[in-house]
Amino acid sequence: MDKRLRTASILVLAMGLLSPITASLADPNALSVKPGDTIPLTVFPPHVFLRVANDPLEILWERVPEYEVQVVPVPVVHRSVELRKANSGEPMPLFFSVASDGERLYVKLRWHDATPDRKTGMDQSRDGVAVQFTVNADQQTSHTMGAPGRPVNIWYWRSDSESAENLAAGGFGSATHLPEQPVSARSHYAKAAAAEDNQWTVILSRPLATDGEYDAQFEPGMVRSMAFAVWQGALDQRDGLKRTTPGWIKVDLSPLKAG
Amino acid sequence: MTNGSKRQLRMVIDLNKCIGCHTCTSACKMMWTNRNGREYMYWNNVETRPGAGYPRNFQEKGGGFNKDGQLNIGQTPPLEDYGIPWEYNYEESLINGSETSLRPNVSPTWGANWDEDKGEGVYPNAHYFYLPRLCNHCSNPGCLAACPRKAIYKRQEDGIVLVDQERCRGYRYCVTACPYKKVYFNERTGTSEKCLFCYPRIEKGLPQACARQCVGRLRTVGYADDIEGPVYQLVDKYKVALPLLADRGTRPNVFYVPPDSPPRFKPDGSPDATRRIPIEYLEGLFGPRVSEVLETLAAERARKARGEDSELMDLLIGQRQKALFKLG
Repeated sequence: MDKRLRTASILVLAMGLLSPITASLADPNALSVKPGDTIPLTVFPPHVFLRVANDPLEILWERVPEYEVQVVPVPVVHRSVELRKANSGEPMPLFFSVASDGERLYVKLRWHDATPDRKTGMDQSRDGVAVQFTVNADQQTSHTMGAPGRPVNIWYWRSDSESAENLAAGGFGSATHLPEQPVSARSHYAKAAAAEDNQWTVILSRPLATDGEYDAQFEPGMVRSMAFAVWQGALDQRDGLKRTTPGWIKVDLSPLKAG
Repeated sequence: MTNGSKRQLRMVIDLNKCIGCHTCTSACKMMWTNRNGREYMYWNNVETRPGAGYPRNFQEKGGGFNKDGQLNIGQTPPLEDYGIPWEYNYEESLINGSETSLRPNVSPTWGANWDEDKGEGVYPNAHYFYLPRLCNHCSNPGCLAACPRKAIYKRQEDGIVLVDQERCRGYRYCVTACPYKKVYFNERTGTSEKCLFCYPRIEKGLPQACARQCVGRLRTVGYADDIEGPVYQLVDKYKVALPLLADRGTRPNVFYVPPDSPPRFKPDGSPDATRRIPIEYLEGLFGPRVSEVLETLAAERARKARGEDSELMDLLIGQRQKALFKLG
C-alpha cells in the first residue's frame, strides 16, 4: 500500500474512533452512528465460508458488528412528490452491517415494518431498501442521488421481485438501470408478537471488483462513502418519497488485505 | 397554440354520429392492449353519458392544473374502477359440457362501458349519448409535468405524447396527474403506458386505427396548423369542435362536436323548447360555447336542408372517408 494512502486511512480510522459512536437505546447490541462517522469493514476470517450468499438467516451475521442509523424523510424536490409529502413518514432506525469474505462486499440491512408490501400495483407500492456509494471514492457528491458529473452507484432491493438492481445516478430523476447487473440480494421478513416489531432483513452483495463504469469499486485502503434509503410500501412510498440517511457514512476498507 | 412541439396532430370526434358500436375500441384493443398486462386497459373507450365513465368516476379523481397553473396530482383509481378483466368458461360450458352455464371467471363489478345506455331521465325524456375517449395528447400534459424522471415526452414533429419505457420506473404520478385518467400502469412490466396516437401508422401516412375503423366516420384527423385540413376547419374556421374538460388546464388536442338532441316532452306530450340533453350537462364537459356550436350546426343543417351548399355539413357527413384525414 502506498505510504501516504496508508497514513490517510489510519487518520480517517482514528477520526472515526474519535466520533461519538454509542450503544443505541433501541437495540443495545447495535452501535449508533450518524452521518460523517466512519465504521470499519468486517472481514470474515479466511477459514469461514458463507454456505449461501446473501442468506439473511446466516448465523455468521450474529458475529458481525451491527450499526444503527436514523433514516429521515427526504426533502421534496419535485412537485409530484411535494404534493404527497404527507406520506413521507417519521424518522426511524435502520440497522446495518458491512462485511466481506475477500471476494464480495455484503451489506446487511434490517428495519422494522409492520407490513410486508410485496406488490407494485396501480395503487400499491412495494417495500424497498437501497445502499448508495460514490462511484469515485475520492469525489465528494450529494448523498441524495449524486450530482451531474459526480455519479453515485445504487444497489436497490425490491420486495416485489425479490431482486436487486444495479443503478447509477447523477442527480434527481436520473437513476438509470445499468447494463451490467452484478448485485444480488435476498430477504427475510420476520413476524413478531407485536406487528410493529416485524422486520425485514435484506442482504445485498456484489463482487468487490467489477467492470462497470458506474460501479463503485472496493479496494484495500479505500474509505468508501455510503448512504441508505428505505421505502415503505404501506405509505405508498416510491421515488423521492422515502427515508434516507441525512448524509454519508464512511466505511474503512483497510481490513481488506491487498493482493 | 402548440407549445412543446413544432407541429400538433389533432383529432375531432363528432358526437352526433357516434352509435356506440365500440369498433374504435376493438380496433385499438386488438392492435395494442389485448396482451402482456394490458388486458384491463382501454386506451380508447366509448362511455355512455351521463354516466360514471371509465375508470369509474374519473372526473372526480383530480389531475390537471389549478387556476394558478399548479399541478393537481389527484387520486389513483384501483383496478376495480377500471374493471377486472375476465374470461369465459367456453371450454367447460360449450365444448365438453362439464359446466352448465357460460359465465365469467371473476364476478365483474365495473368495465369500460358498464353503465352503457343507462343515461339519465325517465320516459319520454330519457337521454344519453356516447363519448369516445382517448389520450388527448395535450399541449400542456399533466402526465408529463408529473413525471420526476422526464420519462414522458412530447414529440416535436407531431406533438404525440409518449412514455419512454426505458426511463419509466413505474412511479405512477402520471396516472393520477392525468385528469382524463388515460395513462395506465402495467403491473406486469412495472411501467406506465398510454395511447400512442398510433404513431407507427401516422409515420406511414395512415390515420389512427380508431379513426380509420370508425363505421360512423365521426373521427377527423389533421395538423393544427394545416389550414386546408379538416381539423382546422372544424376547430378554428367553423369553431364547432370543443375540448373535453378544458378547465383542467392541460390544453387537449382531441376535440368534440357536441351532441344535439331532440326537444323534451311536456306532460301533455307536446314538445318543449329545450333540448333533451341538458345544456348545463354538456357545458360541464365541453365548456361555455356549447349552445353557440349547436346553433351553428342547426343553421348549417338548415342550409343543407334547403338545398344550399354547406362546407361544414359536407365535412361532417364525411361521404368519402379519406377527406376526414389529412396527414401530409
